[in-house]
Amino acid sequence: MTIAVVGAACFGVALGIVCVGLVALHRRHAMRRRIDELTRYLEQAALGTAPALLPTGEDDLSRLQDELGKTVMALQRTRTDAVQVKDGFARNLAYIAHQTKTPLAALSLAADRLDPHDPIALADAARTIREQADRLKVLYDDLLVMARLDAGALNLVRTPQDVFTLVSIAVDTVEELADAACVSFEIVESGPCEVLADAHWTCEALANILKNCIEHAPAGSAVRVEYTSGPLFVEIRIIDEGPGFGMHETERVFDRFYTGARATASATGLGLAFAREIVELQQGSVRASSCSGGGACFDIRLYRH
Amino acid sequence: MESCLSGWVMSAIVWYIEDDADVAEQVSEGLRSAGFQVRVFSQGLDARSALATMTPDVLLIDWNLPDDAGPSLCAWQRRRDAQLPIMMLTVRDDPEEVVEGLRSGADDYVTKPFAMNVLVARIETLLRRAPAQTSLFTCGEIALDTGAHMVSVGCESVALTPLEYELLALFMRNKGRIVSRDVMHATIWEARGDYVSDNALTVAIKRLRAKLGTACHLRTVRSFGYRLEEPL
Repeated sequence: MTIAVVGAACFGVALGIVCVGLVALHRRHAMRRRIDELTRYLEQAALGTAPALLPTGEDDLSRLQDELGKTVMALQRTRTDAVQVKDGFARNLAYIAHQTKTPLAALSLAADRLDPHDPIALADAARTIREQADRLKVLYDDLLVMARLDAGALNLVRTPQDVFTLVSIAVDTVEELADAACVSFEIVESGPCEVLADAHWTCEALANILKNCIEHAPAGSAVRVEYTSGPLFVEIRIIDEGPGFGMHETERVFDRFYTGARATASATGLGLAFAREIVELQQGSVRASSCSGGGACFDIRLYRH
Repeated sequence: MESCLSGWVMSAIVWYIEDDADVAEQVSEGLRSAGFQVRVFSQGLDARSALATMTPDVLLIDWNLPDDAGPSLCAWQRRRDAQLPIMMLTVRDDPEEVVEGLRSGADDYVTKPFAMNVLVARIETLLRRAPAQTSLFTCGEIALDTGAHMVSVGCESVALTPLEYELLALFMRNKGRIVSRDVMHATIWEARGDYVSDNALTVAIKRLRAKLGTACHLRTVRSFGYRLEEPL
């Protein structure tokens, strides 16, 4: 009798051990499968292919899976950013090549025409050299700003600035251009009003927008500058009497290198782009729209705090 | 009177500190053609030794010298002599460079590449600055008499508010120099014991320009300040 009991007990224990063993094996197998899944996931990420989302479940490796997923996403974002930056540089280089090609060719030809025995050719060549040197100077200035913007090296120091002062300085800066184009400015004085802005670069941004207005406004017309303030921000509005914007242009005018349908030969397509980039670096915004009267309207929003 | 004055101005001595030999040669040639006598130094230290024994009429400093020699030379010279006109040659309109330059005592700046006639005109205006002791200041048709407290344009006298007068006097005393907003605030504070806001200053300048009309050659120099220029 007792032998049978002992025998049954032994069998029970043996069965228990086998079961535990089977469970342990199963778990190890499942773990290995999960590790293989995660390894394949990382391999796909390394190859640049978008890996499939892994099934979520609660097991010992789910936290590891979460962290892997986050890391892979961050890496993909970094890769996308890097590609965008590289494309940006390529576009900048193409622009530089395009803009310098013509002045260089013209200068080279002018050098050939420098004949001291032919005063007409000499005067003509001298004029070409002056024109192209001026054009290269504008390009040089733009490139410096572009390089600093792209490198994040534009050191914007925001301090309290009076808006009327900023606008007046910007208008004064473009005075010569305005006089040459017979365009006048009207600044509406609306009292003292402060924003937090970098004086130098904000004036540059405003001046770029004003230059754009001068280029498109008809001779004899006026460009109107007014500002309104609220508790959070100030809005500066610049309105010209030019042809305004075409359909769908209001979004594109602030893109780099966009010169629009009515661009002059010397338009760089950078002035408005820089204006927006400088304002946005200060948490502000710039918007373009066509006025009811037909002209262009720029709304620049700058924050007071 | 004008030709006598320009005769004197034309033989003025310019000391030019520039380490780039090509630029130095071109600029010197341009200045010599305009009638200036030019002496070039390739290092700040050489200029300092020379300044110990002699003083030129104008100091022209390349702001891009190695070892920050430009700003330190300017500050050193300004401590020794408040009157000697100092002109900076900068590589770009970099606000940090220009503001630092003006604070270290420079009077004005020109950005390379510049037009030679612009540099010549700016140097001439600095040289035409009235001596410190005078009470009568002129700029083109504008005359300001600090003794009689009167301002006139041509033969007509002009009525200015106290703030407009103080500002004009400040610009006339510093003809050819860039006067920063900080200096404007400080001067008004000293003259009237009154703090005037930026808005009030800008409005006063607008009114001043309107009252002086075309005789007024007050240039806004970006956000750095204002410069009263001689008419060409």
